[in-house]
Amino acid sequence: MDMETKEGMKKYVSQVAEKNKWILNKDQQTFNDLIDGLVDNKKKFNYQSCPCRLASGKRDLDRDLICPCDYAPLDIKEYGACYCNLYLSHNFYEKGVDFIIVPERRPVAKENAVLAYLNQKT
Amino acid sequence: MSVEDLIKKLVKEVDGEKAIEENVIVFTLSTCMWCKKCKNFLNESSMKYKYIDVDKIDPVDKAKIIEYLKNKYQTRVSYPFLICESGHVVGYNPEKYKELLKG
Repeated sequence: MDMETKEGMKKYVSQVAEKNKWILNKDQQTFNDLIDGLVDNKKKFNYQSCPCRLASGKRDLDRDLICPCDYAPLDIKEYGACYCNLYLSHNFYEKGVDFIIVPERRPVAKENAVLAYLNQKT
Repeated sequence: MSVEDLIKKLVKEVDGEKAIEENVIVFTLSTCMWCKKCKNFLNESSMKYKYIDVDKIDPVDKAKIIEYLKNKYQTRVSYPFLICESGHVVGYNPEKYKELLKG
């Protein structure tokens, strides 16, 4: 599976969704934008970092953001969607909404570590 | 160079019919679907605005801008991060945009 292509990335996220008993966002524009973002990040960093968060480019610091991110299971359980709304709970569309804004669950300490890393690059 | 000057240097301008005095700047990620929705909202509102794709800039400039936003607005930084004369909105929130940008 070549995750640097749209088709490969779509296959990957479909497998992730199936394995976790989630569904994928049904809005084609949103879905394709998310796939494009994941493919861009995969090409840039060599890992599919969450497209809706700023990655550092250092794998160790971004490990929790590799899609599916560490926060997706809890967010989907609590809100019915991951932070990006790529993965959704099975009953998501029963709520009658197209998308939901999921609060950031990533610990601030991890963001601060990224900031410190970026500052070192002077 | 001050961070304000750095921001002025890095912003890209999008022209629109509605040049309200709000001086809208939105900090975005080029990969982010929420950021695309935010830009679409501004485009569809014919709003004149500026933006910076934070993931596309130099790492040191990234750090300076994130620290600046964090300190000035006393909030954690996520994207899209919209600022204007009347306030700021962290994350995609069309209802808040409508409130802030009704001029």
